[in-house]
Amino acid sequence: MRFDVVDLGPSALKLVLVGRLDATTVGMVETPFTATVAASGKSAVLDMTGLEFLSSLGIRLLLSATRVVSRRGGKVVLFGAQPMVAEVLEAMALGDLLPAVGTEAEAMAHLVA
Amino acid sequence: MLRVDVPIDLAALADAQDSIETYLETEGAPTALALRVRLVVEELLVNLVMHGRFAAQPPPAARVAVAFEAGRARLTIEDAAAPFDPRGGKAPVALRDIEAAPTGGLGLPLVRRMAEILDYGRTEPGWNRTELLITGVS
Repeated sequence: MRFDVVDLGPSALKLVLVGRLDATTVGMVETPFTATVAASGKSAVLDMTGLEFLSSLGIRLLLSATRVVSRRGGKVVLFGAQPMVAEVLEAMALGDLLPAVGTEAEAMAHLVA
Repeated sequence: MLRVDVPIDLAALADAQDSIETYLETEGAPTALALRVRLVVEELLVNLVMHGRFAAQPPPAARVAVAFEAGRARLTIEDAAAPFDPRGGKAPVALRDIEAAPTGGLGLPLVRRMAEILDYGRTEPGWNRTELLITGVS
């Protein structure tokens, strides 16, 4: 599990999640992931196209990061979730807190909506 | 059928999940089903590691069995933790306020959405037995 960071300008950051975000891997990325979104002070779009697996501990990390961004007035939008990940997010009824769209362009549009 | 004993330790989880996923793929199960089973196994075993109360220390390994039959996976988990019936609890409710979002307790609601819990009971002194059925993507 890893994530890459892409600066999208003054108001948004893209975090590219790759691998499996689960009980075994969440500890590897939890602190740097949350620190990155907190330090940026920007909204975040999460590129989920490379994320193959998401469990409840991974969801907890995403919610924690969203809480940090929200407290600074920003938004978090996910895009490109693979079927397994999309299914998990839908099952947990998290669409309002972690909105998921198809493409990066849609995610960026959602940030300014 | 695959049977695997899984120590009550997060460090042991990935190997068990990999074995189960490999077994299901070898049996011809769709990837979506294999990932669902992997998820359910993780949530139940993490729950044991984080919340299980065991009389013996270190706790005995959980006994996990998976069978792929008729396009579905039948999963059985036996553990020596204090009695715990995973069938209770509420379905996830849509939340609109991130400050009200839960910081824990997400695993079992997810299990109940991803699997049908066929049975729960105590099979021998000090052991829980949970039987689940997991089907493909609905």
